[in-house]
Amino acid sequence: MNARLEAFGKDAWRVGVSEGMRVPAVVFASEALLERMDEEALHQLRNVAELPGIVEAAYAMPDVHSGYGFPIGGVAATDINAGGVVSPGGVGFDICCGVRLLLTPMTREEIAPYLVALMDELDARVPRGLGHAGSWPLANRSSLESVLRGGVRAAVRAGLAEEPDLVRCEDEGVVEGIDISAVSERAIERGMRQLGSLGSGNHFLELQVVDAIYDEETARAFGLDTAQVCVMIHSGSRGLGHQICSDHVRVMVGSMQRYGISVSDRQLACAPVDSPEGRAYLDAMGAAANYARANRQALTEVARQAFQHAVGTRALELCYDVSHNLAKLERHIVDGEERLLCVHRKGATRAFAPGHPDLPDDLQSPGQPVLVPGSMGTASYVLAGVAPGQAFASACHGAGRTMSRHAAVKSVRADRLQRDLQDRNIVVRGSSARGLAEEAPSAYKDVDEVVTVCAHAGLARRVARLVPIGVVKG
Amino acid sequence: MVSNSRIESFENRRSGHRTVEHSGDLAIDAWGSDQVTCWREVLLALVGSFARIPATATRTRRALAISVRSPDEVLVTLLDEAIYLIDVRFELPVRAELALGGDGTVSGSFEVVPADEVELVGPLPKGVAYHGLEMCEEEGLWRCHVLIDR
Repeated sequence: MNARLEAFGKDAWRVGVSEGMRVPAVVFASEALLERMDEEALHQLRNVAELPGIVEAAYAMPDVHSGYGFPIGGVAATDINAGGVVSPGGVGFDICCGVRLLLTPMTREEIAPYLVALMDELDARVPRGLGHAGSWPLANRSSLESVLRGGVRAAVRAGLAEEPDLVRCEDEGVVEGIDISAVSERAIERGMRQLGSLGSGNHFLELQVVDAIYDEETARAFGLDTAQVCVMIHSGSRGLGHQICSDHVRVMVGSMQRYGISVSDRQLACAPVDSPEGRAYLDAMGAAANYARANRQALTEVARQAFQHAVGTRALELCYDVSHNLAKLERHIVDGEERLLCVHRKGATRAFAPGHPDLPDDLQSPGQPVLVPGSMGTASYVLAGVAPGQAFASACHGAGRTMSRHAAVKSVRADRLQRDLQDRNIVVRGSSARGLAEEAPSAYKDVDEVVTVCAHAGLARRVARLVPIGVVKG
Repeated sequence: MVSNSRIESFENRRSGHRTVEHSGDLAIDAWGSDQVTCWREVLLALVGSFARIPATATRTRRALAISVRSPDEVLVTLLDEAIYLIDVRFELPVRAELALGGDGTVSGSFEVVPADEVELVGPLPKGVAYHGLEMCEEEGLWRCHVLIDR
């Protein structure tokens, strides 16, 4: 365990302010998770604590691991009215990468006779890999612009979404009022053919079954029942989001000196939220968020069509759609005073408590669903926000890597992994053998431990656990 | 100081590349007797990380001009250009012919092959990080270290 970390609560650890840090660094972890936490992640968290305008602490979720500049699983909020900055690195390359959970009307037993046919149907229909155009063809640039402005609402207009899909999406499916002139030509080009595609790496579409419920009342409110089959989609803003991140990091690397800002890592390049560079990034990021949500919506339509074809129903109802890579302007109480903050969640999920005014009416009582995908072939969780919450109402976003992708490829045989998944009656439709090995469960932390810490540390409460029965790998 | 951790060792060669440990994503070390060789090696590592190129693949050229001047900025721009071709044109830049101008700018071309003629063996590259980015000359050898998001 790291000697500089001091325990200060249940599964909570703190590094005091030193060497340029403006606030402490706080890690939520059990002793077991802390033992496996990489030193680089803590180093990156301390660098985040140096950002101008940061308040309270630089936080690490229980699934934290090292990333680029910001650790993955990091949360940082800056005070906009005190020169607080926005950092594209605090959002990450895959802007608005996130998870949506769809509820089917079927149980595990009911879907069993159709499972292989359904997986074949999904395998054929879910676009992924190089050269495969997305499922939502865009006629021209103005079609893409309407997606960048309208998010899931554009999908409703295109006949790819239903009205209830809006209500159960974070921000009701759209970041409003953004100026898309901050989106570069290259980002537009990269976005044109990829809408409605899964992407590679750790992205997936899974068929899952609810195998444990921890909070009956909340599960009922979320529409979850024991043995129910669900569809989980994990994807983001594809090449468009990556291009926006690259473009704006580069701009901010060049503009920091003008604002008298220096950072320990160029990937933490930033600009005051209230500056031309800051506003331009937030606009472009909002466009990417709209694209990412429209992308997950288009994949939802693909899943509905596959179900219709293979099972005879397209009744897949949206439980929730939430991002884990985003910066948002939110009001929080800091030092007893309500302040407007720019909350960066990089590999962390917003987790609003019951009664939060930004939640739709039917989620006021249970609070916001927090969707936590496990590693391939392991359990995923549905959590819910709690009051008062921690880290500006944030929780974990997954299991968190313990092994690099490179190391996973060296230590995992893809054919054995596939056989192991088959032995557990999990039907896999993968991409490359290397891609499969890189996402092996052994390369990740134990997601059960991660969500247990979330509950102990007051980040979120457990609602249900889901286990996979079919995996379409990106 | 560029990392010395070794996964695939080509240490005795005057030019080469290897992928190294990083929990975030793909990390590449490359080296060569001059900057151009170093940049070309990074490109080989990038493409090699996700594709096998048949000897029979159709090869064409795409012109390239890079106006930034510092060696690490050239490296980032070169990789950004490669990722753009992969993502938008579905072409893999398997080789680069590069010439360093007197003012530090770089011109040349990519040799590209169509995506449908290659075998994909890993996740596609999507972005180039500034985190950990290094390019420097050490004892007559240019070395660089770069992280790629996928």
